[in-house]
Amino acid sequence: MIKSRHAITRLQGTLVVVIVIIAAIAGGAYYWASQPPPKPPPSPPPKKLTVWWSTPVFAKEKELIPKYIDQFKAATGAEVEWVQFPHVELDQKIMTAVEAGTNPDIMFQAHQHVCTILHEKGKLLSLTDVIDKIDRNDLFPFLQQMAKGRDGVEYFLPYYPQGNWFHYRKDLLAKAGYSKPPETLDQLLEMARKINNPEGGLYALGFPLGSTTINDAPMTFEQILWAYGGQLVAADGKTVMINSTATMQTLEFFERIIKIDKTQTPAALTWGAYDNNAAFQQLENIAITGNPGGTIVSWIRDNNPKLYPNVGTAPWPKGPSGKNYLLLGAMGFSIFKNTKNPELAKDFVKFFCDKTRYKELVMATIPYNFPMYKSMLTEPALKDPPMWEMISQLLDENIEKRLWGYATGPTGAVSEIYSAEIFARMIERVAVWGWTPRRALNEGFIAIRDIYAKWLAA
Amino acid sequence: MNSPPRIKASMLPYLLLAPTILFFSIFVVYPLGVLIDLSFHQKYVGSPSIFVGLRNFQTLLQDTGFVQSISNTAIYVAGAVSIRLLFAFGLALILNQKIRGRPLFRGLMLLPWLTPMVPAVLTWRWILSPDYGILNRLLLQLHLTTYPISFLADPILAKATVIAFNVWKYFPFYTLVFLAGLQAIPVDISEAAEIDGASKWMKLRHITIPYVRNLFAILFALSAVWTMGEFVSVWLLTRGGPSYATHTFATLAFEQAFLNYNLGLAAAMFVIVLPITVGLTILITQYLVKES
Repeated sequence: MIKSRHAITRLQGTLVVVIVIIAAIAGGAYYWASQPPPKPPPSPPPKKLTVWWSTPVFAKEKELIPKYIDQFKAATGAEVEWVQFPHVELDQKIMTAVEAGTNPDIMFQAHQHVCTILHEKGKLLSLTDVIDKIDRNDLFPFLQQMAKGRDGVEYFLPYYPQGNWFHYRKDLLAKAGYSKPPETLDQLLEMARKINNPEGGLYALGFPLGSTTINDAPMTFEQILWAYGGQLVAADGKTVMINSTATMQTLEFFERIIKIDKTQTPAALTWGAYDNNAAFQQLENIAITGNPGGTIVSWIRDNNPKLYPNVGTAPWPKGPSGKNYLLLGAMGFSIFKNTKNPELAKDFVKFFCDKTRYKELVMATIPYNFPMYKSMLTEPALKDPPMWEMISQLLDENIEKRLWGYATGPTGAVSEIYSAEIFARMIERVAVWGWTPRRALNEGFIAIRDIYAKWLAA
Repeated sequence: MNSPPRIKASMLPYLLLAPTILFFSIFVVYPLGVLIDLSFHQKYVGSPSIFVGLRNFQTLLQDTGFVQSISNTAIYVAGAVSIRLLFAFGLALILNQKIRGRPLFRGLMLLPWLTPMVPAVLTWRWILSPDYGILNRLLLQLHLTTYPISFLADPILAKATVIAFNVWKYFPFYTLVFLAGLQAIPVDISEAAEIDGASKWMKLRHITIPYVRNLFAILFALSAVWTMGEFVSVWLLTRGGPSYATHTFATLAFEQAFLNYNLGLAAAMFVIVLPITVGLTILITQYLVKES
């Protein structure tokens, strides 16, 4: 009994084991079959670009830039964070971000000197392949020079070129009996004396001259310096040439208009970046001014149509050098070396340089900027007389085009001289503290010499 | 048996102070340490930092612009603080009287303080402009001047304008504090003095001023510290010009750091001014402790 019972139990046990094994296999198979198919590896997140942009000025521009960014995003699948800053703030934001390591991938700068300083500190990417891909031969030669650092690397794409224009009020000159603008500095001085009527609220001249103008004063200074035959530095980029008779004459010119003839509004010594525009645009306060970028003409065109035909632009008057000069600068793109997506960043810049898009965009900003492509200067929209007086200077071979910081153009040293407002400080020493031009020049020369020594040693 | 609660009790003040100490360490002590360290280095934005010892301080003491900014700051603080306190006190005395329309005047008085800084400065610049400013137009039309006055381009007038703006912008706060102080003076003392034949001048001298003396002291010290560090109004009005005539420590340091990108020199400026602000702060604290 016991044996038989034992035998049954073994059979039962075997059955149980078999059933368990079958159940386990079936369960496992069911479990395996009921599992969802394995997930493919997660796709990488979309590439991202951060672009800091000097706030656009014109309504159409404000509409077009986001539209193009959306098109770029759709074409590449990338994310783009577009951040705008007023141009007077962007310099400080960029420098602070660079120091903190939180800089954007791309910057669109109103002030090239920031890009130049960062390039010489090794922070920017070469844009040579970008410039090669766009139509290099259609770019103005001076823009190709502007793009390069002193090491020959192209670090800046001069997207919105600008001239430093000499503007005058045709109606106010006519009132004083002049049918055309001054052609020489002597004529300018004489005309200014005749037009000047501060008791009646009119100053003949309103050149931005103080250290508060953010780049306007150094550009005016260089224009007059060139007219007297002077320059900041030799073409070798090492020999400082500011300690010259021409610089003395330049300072004496400013001393004359501010202190002796009193034809220059004294307010210009504390003007900010926009005050010369305001003084010239708003009322009959200033007859002649100088201004980098065509803001004055564009503002008057859009806001004061009656005044628009009365705004004239002429070449800067000739000095003893006997030549007309036009100082050129630009707003433009630079890409940071530490970007995680260098190719995408370059694609972004190239996308904005596509001629169809570029034409639509730059024409929306005319005459604040002019096109970087030579072929676009023939556009009928540019033939409007007040605008053409500006644009045609670019094609006039009698006017020598020079970059700021002649004879090298923008370098780290020139950028620091502009940023530290050394030229304006010299004018202020003469105008505010009554220093002689010689003494002011001595101080300015030492500062400039030291800045060059520092940059050349770096 | 009693030891654990004793430990807890003795730890409690430290525990309560811990968040403050942590906050103070992160947001005051650490940045201050970095600032002091930076002042001994040649440090340009985007360049590595090089230890130069006391060279930044030496450069600053030889720099006429910096020396001028010290004198400008002293003139600015002395002028703005004294005029503002006297003006605010005088106005508080008037607004403390039972005059017709007193609530309206008290409300209007607050306007400069409530106006945002940027529009306020731009309005002042517009009013004072010799090219298109309304004040010069008025002076010319009234034949009070034959030439437009350049308020911001003349070194003395620019200093005076910067002080005047500071007084105008901030006097309402001080007037409010003085008003509160004046209203805390018991009425019966004043009435008793009147019964005894005290004149208004005697009441002011022997009752009012002694009562608000402490307020004067505290407001003077606070005002001096705040004015010394004032940046926005000076920068927006003149950017330190014409030719350094209105540069203070704060504006010149900003210019060095963010326009000349010389962080080491800017840090050294703050380190030089630090003992003055710390000294004033200690004085205020000691005074408050003594009074309490």
